[in-house]
Amino acid sequence: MDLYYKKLKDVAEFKDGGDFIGQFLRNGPDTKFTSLITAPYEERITSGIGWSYGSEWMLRKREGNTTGWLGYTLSYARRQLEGVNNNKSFPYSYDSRHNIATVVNHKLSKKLSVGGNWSYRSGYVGTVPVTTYKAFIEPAPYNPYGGTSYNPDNIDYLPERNNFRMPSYHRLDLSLTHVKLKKWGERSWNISIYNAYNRQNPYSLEMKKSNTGQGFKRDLSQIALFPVLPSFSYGFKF
Amino acid sequence: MMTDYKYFTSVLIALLVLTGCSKNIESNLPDYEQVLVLNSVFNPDSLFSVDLSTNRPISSNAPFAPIVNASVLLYRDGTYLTDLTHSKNGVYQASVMPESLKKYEIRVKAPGFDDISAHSTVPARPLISDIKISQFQPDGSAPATLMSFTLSDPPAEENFYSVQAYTFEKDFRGNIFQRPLSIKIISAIEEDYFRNGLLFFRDKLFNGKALDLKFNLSNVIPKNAYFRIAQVSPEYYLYGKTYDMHRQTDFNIGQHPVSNNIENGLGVFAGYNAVTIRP
Repeated sequence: MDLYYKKLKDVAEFKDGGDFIGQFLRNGPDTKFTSLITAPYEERITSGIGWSYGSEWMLRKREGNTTGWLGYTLSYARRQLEGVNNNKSFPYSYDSRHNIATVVNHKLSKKLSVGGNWSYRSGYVGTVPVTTYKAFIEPAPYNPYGGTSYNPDNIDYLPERNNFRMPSYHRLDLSLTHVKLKKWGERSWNISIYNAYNRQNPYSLEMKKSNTGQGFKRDLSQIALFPVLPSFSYGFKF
Repeated sequence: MMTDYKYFTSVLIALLVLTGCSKNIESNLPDYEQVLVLNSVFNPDSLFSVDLSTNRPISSNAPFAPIVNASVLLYRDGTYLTDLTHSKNGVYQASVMPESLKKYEIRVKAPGFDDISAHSTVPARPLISDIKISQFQPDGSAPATLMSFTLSDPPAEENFYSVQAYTFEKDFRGNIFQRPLSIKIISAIEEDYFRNGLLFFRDKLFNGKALDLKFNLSNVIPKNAYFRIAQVSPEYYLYGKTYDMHRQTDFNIGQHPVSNNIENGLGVFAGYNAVTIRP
């Protein structure tokens, strides 16, 4: 069992809304780095402090027909930077509270063995708007060519950075291995199943916009990668 | 044997193509609280007015619900001044005009919502002098207007400004309307952001100094150009700036939060003070 605590200094982070790719995508070669809305590099990042602490536990069985280990980590990772999240501390992008990893191997015979591993971790955090509200728009002067000059707009309210924790990640992998000794060395066949119970683990979040016929509607969706994936392999050692 | 091999390959390719490795799954948005939304940007040239509404879910595209049964109280320099009465669609008005250099506070109560409050000060009128307007003709282009004046910035404090230019034109029915003009600054200031035809900037590069400001108004002759310069409160400047950045970003690339100075609620309550230069 281990306990750890680490304080970090001068950690860099993008300020709220500071991005590079978005500006280039929107403006391309016309990107103006001189104005504040497309500020120079040093104005888009800020530095501050961070903490990382937690506890790690492990149990291991090395002997017998059944071997394996079980590990558990309780961890916290936070950041606090000037100009970000109203200068308050917030959970860092890779803050994941619980992490469990277990690996088991069992010898059915001298030639045949089965194995499995199951891993679990709490979901990572991200910033998600929770509600939307009416923006203040300067009174629009009468414009005969376009009704009102400026359309009312909405503001998405972002309460604080990394306010949303994605669903947890877990999966089970299974394998069956047959090993045979040959004159020239060792041959093995292996059948395995990655993500055996087809857990749709979250990879990233996306805000999707759809036209309902009465305006646009937005929904949050998560992208899941890698469903159940069987595989087969052949190996040899000499 | 060859047939089996082809069959196996076809099935494998079909599986790979049809299965795919990524999938979109609907996810629940975090819970949110229904709060009062107050929007009011005031200046000494108009009566106090406040727009009250409430927020809605991200996934909804319904109109914002106006709040029509609220009690809206206005305070000046810490003393009760007046009530604002509901006129229509959540807009509340007072029969008083804001005054320069006075601090205003607004307190709102509405059934079913937490009380909200906010405060802001009306800044002084911007100090401008040496106004010059002239016409020039860029090479091969329509006549343009060059406008210049001196802006005296108060020392030892951070000040924020906005400028806009417009002209009046007649539509096909003979109605006069105000047309915003695009302006180009040819002075050494840090242009912060444009918002609805207004250019906002702060005194970062000329704090406490008298600055000669020159603006180029294309396709307009001097006698038709109107110019409005305002000193805006920090709350207005910050709201506008962050709102502009918010509009330029989106969820998928990292959205910029908008400044909010409403306690227990959302929106903006901010003062400004403007001077109009007429031809």
